Order: sequence, then structure tokens, then C-alpha cells
Amino acid sequence: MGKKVIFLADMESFYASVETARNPSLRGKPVAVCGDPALRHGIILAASREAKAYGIKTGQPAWEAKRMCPWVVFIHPSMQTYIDYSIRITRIFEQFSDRILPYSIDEQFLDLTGLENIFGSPHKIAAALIELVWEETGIRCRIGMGENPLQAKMACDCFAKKTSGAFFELSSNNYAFYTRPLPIKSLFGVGHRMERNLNRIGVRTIGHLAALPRKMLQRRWGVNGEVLWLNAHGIDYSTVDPDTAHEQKGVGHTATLPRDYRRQQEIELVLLEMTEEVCARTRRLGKIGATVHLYCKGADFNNPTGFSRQKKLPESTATAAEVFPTVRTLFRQHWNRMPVRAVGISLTGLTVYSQLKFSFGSCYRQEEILAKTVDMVRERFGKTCLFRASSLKPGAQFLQRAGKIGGHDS
Amino acid sequence: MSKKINQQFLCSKMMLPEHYSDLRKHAAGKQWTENHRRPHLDEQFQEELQQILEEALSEQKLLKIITLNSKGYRVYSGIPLHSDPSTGLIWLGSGKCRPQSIRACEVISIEPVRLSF
Repeated sequence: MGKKVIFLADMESFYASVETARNPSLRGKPVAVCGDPALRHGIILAASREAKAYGIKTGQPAWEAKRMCPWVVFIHPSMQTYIDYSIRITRIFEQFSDRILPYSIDEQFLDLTGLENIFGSPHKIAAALIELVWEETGIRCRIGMGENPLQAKMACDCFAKKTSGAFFELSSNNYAFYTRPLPIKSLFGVGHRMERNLNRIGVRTIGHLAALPRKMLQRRWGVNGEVLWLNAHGIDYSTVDPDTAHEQKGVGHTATLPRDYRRQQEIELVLLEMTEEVCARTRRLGKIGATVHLYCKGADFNNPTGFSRQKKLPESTATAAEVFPTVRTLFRQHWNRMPVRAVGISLTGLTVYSQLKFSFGSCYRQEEILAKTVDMVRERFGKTCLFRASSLKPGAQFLQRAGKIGGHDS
Repeated sequence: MSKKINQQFLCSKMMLPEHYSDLRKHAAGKQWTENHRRPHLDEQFQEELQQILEEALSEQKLLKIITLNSKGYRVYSGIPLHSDPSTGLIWLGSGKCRPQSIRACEVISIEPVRLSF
């Protein structure tokens, strides 16, 4: 069997590029997209090439960026526009292949195996894709190529983004040569915490990790250790399966609170609102969830606290009245009474609603009918036309979050 | 084998729910277009359709006509009453009080209906 041709296409400074494409007067100026500092969303989500030249980085507080470059242009994010652009780019890629897997709003995998006879060499296809995306959207695209998605991702992140041609190819033959000298944090799957753990055992480069026995990593970190060993060797069994592109494993919401929440009542109110939001979205998919997951992040950066716990529900459901008691129990069990900065709730283990709901004579049946009626009313008249009276209490987030995408303006 | 080993990128995908929902709409739209793509009717096939229609017009035969337009497929059954080249309409009597008009340019299939008793 021939080698696979997998691309990972990444859009340069996506949000900032979209804003520049929408408003050409911004071209050549340092542009940074950032949330509202008043709501503690004042961090840089994307910075244009010109802004990066001043040292402005993604994740930096807006005030720091302003200090580095006083004439930087701040723009509020418009999430729906970014999603529209992302789908426009998917459409461009669909002219070349139907095997596309969007990985995030600005990254998409493409499987171009066997298309050389139609479109020419992979290099030519990459050049054509980069040009088409630029012409049709005004966004610069970088492409990493490999024999599997991991190699494509590493080629893009570690090399294509740093080369002038915006394209780099890794293969099983040259993977070790190019990647082994790189610092361990460059390896896909290594975050800050894992980097620290690996440094503790003397692993500083990808080469060091590749030299360790697979069994040892497996013993130490289980599946994660095994995956890291495979990644260090450029081995990846993932496929670019378009059928899985729209598959959703779970439904979740995470929110950074506008201030530190200290009172149990206030936090539980936000948890109730978020549970309702998650359940409504699950119902919209025609599904019910089996497990609820609660995440809480403490407010103190110097002394990081918080927890992340999950619990199986007594029965699969998508009704807030059934899910919330479990969320509340999890919260009361694990909260250490320290101020909370961010919370998140998700429902996983999704199954199709009609397949598995046997709630014989359950008292929740009426709650279910009520929830569906509320869904219908909200769908017709808008999300804020009907809500719990408790959402008017201090600390409630429902009205602030309504109509937002990813916590930012749509 | 663990899912994380098999499909590590599916496990680490970072997608907004609104993006998922728009992708699903896009995929459904693509599927609809694919399912409603107008077939290419070559000259010979068009002549065959013309012949069936003329025969049914002269002999008052029952026909099944399938059309495809932006609203989708539609199946008509009835006896053709008359076809008007100037308006491009075929008039079909289907037992209802008013005959139905069919746009000839939307027709993709004409079949005689054989009644079996």
C-alpha cells in the first residue's frame, strides 16, 4: 500500500486575519483580537503578524499588549464570523478532497492520498491550497504534510509556521532527524504539567523521550505515556474520517466568572444555569447523557486550587432537574470553600434519546415536558424571553451569556 | 486498543458547539445538493421521453412523470391532456377537478403506467 498524504492546514492568526480581511484599512497595522477586560476576558485571543513583531502574544493580558505597542488596534471577537470563515475554508478544501476533518476553528486535516494523478504532487496541491485560501478569504494558510495526522501536525506546528514557504513535509524517514533535537514541549500532547514531569526524569528533548522504553512510560503514565512514546517516534493510528467530523462526544460549557465567587449560593446558581444550558443543547441534538462532569478553578493564581470530577447519573437524561442534583452533590463534596474563578459542566456518554429512555412513572416526566416546552418557546422568541427568576439574582450569568459564542460576542 | 491511541486527534479536538452545528448544516446541505443533482439527459434519452409522451397523448395512456426542481423530487400520475411548446408546459389530468401543469424543463423521467387487475 502506498504512503498516505495527510495535510494539516493552519490559518495564521485566524481571528486577527479575519478582522483584517473584513476591514482592509487594518492591513499593515498591529491588530489584536481580545475580549472584554471588564468581564475578565481581556486577554489576547489572536494577534496579527504586525502585532507579533512588537512581542504581543496570544494569551497575554490586553493592558500588557498596550504597553508593548501603544498603537495596537484592539477588536472585540465576532465568533459567528470566524465560524463562517472557517466553513468557507472547508468549502475550498472540499474542491480537492472529501476527506476533511476540522480539528479546531483554524486547523483542518485533509487526506489527499491517491489524488496525485488528478491534482499533481502534494507540493503543488499545497501551493494551490495556500493560494486559493489567500485569494478567496485574504487569510494566510500554513500546511504541514505527513504520512499520518501526527506527522502533519508536527510538520505544521514546528516547521511550516516558521518557514517562508508556509509548507513543510515530514515522513517516517525524516521524522527522527527533524524532531529529535526539538525541546520536549514541542511534541504534540506535551503540556506544561507533562513537560515538568518529563524534565524531572531528565527528558528535555523529543530524542530523549524516544530513547526511553515504551513499557516504562506506559507504567508511569498509562495510555498517555504510551501515546507520548508513539508520538516521539512519529507513529499515529488516527485517520481523517469525515464521518467523525460532526460527531459530538459530549456537550459542555465552561465560563470564566466576571469576578471571584465566594458564596456557595452564588456558585450553585451559576452551576444551575450552566446545567440548564448544557441540557438544552443536549436535547437539541436529540440525545441524553449518562455522565456529568464538573470543573471548578480556584481564583488564586499563586496557589492553584480547584477540582475536576465526574459522576454517572442514576439514569441517562438531558433534563436539568435530573442532572443538577448530581452537579450540586459533586460541588458540595469537592469544593474547598476557596473563591472560584471559572466553572465548567459537561454531559458525556451521549446516546440517542429515543433508544434509551425508560423512565417508568418517573416524577421527572413533567420536568421533561416543561424543559421541551421552554426549548420551543426560546427557539421561537429568543433565549432571553423565558428564564428562571433566580437568574435575576446577583451573580447570575444567564443574561450576560445569552447570545454569546464561546463566551465572546457572536 | 485504547481510543486515545487509535484516534488521538478526535480526543483532543477543540471545537465550539456552534461550529459543530454549522458543519452539520453544511454537510446536510451538501448531501441535499448531491441527492438532488439533476441527471444529465442525453439527446437519445430526451427523444425517448418525447416519444413516450406523444404516444400517451394520442392514445390517452396513463403516465408517471418525475420532476426535479429546487424544492426536490415530485411524482405525478395521470393522463397527458396536451403539451404546449410555447409555454413549455405539459398538462396532466389526474382525476382532480383541475389539470396539473408540469414544467417540461424539470422533467427527469416519464414512464407509462401499466395497470394490472
